Amino acid sequence: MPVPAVKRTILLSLGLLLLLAIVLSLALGPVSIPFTDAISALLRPITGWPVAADTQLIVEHIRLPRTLMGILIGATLALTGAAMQGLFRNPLADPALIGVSSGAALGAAMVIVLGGVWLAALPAALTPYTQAAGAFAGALLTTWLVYRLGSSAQGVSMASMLLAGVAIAALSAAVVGLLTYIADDAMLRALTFWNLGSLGAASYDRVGMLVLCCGLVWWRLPRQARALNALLLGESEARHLGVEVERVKRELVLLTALGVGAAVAAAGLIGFVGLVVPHLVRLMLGPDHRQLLPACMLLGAALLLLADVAARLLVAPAELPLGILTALLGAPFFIALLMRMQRRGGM
Amino acid sequence: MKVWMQRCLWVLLLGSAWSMAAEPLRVVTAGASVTAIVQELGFVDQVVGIDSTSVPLLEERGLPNVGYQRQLSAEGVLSLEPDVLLGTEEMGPPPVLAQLREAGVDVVVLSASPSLETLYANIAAVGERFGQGAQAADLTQRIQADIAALPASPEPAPPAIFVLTHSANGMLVAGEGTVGDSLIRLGGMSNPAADSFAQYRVLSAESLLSLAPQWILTTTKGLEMVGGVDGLLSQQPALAATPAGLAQQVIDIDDSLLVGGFSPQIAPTLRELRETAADQ
Repeated sequence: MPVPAVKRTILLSLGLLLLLAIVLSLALGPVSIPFTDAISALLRPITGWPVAADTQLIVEHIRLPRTLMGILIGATLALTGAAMQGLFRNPLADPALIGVSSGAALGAAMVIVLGGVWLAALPAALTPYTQAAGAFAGALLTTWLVYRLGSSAQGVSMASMLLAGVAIAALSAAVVGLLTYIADDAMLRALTFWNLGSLGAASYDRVGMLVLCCGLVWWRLPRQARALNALLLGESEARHLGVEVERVKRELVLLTALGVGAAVAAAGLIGFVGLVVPHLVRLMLGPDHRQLLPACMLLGAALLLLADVAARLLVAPAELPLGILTALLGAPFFIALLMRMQRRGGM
Repeated sequence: MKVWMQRCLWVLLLGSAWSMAAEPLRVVTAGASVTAIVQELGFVDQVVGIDSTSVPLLEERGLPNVGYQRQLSAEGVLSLEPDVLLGTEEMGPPPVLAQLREAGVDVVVLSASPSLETLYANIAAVGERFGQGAQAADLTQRIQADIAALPASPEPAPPAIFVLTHSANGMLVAGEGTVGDSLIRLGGMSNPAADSFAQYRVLSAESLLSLAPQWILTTTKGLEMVGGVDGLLSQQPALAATPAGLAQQVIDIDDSLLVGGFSPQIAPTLRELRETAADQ
C-alpha cells in the first residue's frame, strides 16, 4: 500500500524541521559565530577552507558532538517511547515503565556514592566513563529483572510487567534515597545534576557509544512496525495474524533498554520526549507504526535539538538543564494539540 | 605564494608582539572564595565572568554569570574569551573543563579543603598566576597577623554545631572534614558531631539533644529561608530543646565565606566566634 500524499508531506516537513533544528544547533550558541563561518568550519575537513582556530574548535568539538548526541538521543527516546506505547497498548507508557530510567539512575548513583574505593584501582583514562557505565548496566539489569518478573510459563504478561516495573522503580527510588542519605555534599550535587539531563558534556566518545547502541535500535526497531500494528488489535489477534508475539515483546523490550540505557548514560535523564513525541505524531499521522516510527525519530531529534539550543542561549553564558526545557517546550504544545483535537470531536 | 608567506610572517610577528606586551589577563572565577581572593588582591578589573556563588561579592559590577560552578558550559565560558578559568576542585563537569583546556583556556584548579593552609596556598597560586607574587605574600601575611591576633580559644571549648537548612523539613549537621567543622574549631569552639560522623548528616532529634551544643552556627541565606532564628527553632523542635536553642544562641555566617574553601575575608568572622566562645 503506497503512503498517502498527506502523510508523505507530513513526513517531509518533519524532515525539514529536523534539518532546520540541526542548522540552528550548529549555528547558535553563546559565542556568536557568523553562519557562513560555522558552515566553513563544518566543511573544512573536506574543503580545506581556512577557518579561525577558535571557530573551528567550537563548531567541531563543542557544537557538532552536541548536535549529533541530540539527534541520536532525541530520535531514540521518541522511537522507543512509541514502541512502548504500542507494546503496552497504553497511551501513558514510556520507557520509564520497564525500569530503564530508574535502573540507570540507580546504577549511576551506586557508582557516584559507592564507587570511590574500588574505582580508584581503575586506570585514570577510564574514570570519566564509570558513571555512564554504571547507568547503562543499571538500565539493562533492572529491565531484565522487570522482564523476568513479568514472564511465566504462559509467556510474558504485559500487565504483570507493568506492575513489576512500578515495583522495581519504587525499589530503585528507595535505594537511591538510601544512597543519597549516605552521600556527601559533592556526591549529592553530582546526583542532582545527573538527574537533570544535559548535552553539555558531549564528546565524540559518547557519540561513538551512542552510534553503536542507538544504531542497533534504529535498525531493528522499525522492522517491528507491522507487528506493533497487529498488537494494537490485541495479543491473541496479533498471534492469529501470524505475529510471533513473544519474540516481538522480547526484542522490543531489549532494544528499548539498550537505546534508552545508552541515552541516559550519555546525557542523564531527559524526560517527556519519549512520552509526548509519539502522541504528537499520532495526532498528525494516525496510528500506523510504519509511518509513526520514522516520524517519531524525526520529531524527537528536532524537539531535543531545539530545546538544547534554548538551553544554551536562554541564560548564557550559563546553561539550563535540558530536561527542564524539554518539558517546558513539550507540555504546552501537547496540551494545545489535545485541546484542538477535543474541539474537533475526540481523538 | 609569496603574498601568502608574507601574511603568515605578519601573523607570527603580530602574535608574538601581542603575547609579549603585558596584556591584562581575562579571567573567569568560579567559587566565592576564589573570587574573594582575586578581589582582595585587587585584580577584579581583569575578571570578565563569575560563577553563581560569586555573584553576591561583585554584584555592583554586573559581570556575566557563567552559572553554577559544578555545571559550567564550555561554550558559555568561551564566549567571554577568557585566558584563565580560576576555580577549585568543586568546578565541573570534567568533560567541559577538558574542552576549555583544549580551547587554550588555562584552567587553574585550586584545593577547596576548608583550612587556613589551603587558603594561603590558594592566595599564593592566584598571585603567581597574575604575576604578582609579592602582593599575594602581603595578603597572606595580613591574614596570618589577623589570625595570630585572635583571642585564645577558651578551655574547655564550648560545644557548637553547624547546621545547613535548605527547607522547613530538612536540616543537615556538619561532621568531620566539613567547612562547618573547621569553622567551629577555628572559632574557638568544639564540634561534638565530628566525633561520630564525617560529612553532612540528617540527625534524629535525640542525637541532636545528646550533642548538647551551646551554640548553633548556620548560614545567613539558610537562616533567612527558614524565617530567622524563631523560624529555625520553631521548625526544628529538637534544635529548640538544646542548650543553644533554649538560650536562642544562633550565629549566622555569610554563605560566600564558605564556598570553595575559606574566603580571605574569614578572619573577622573567626574573631567574632572566638569572642563569643570566650564570653561563656
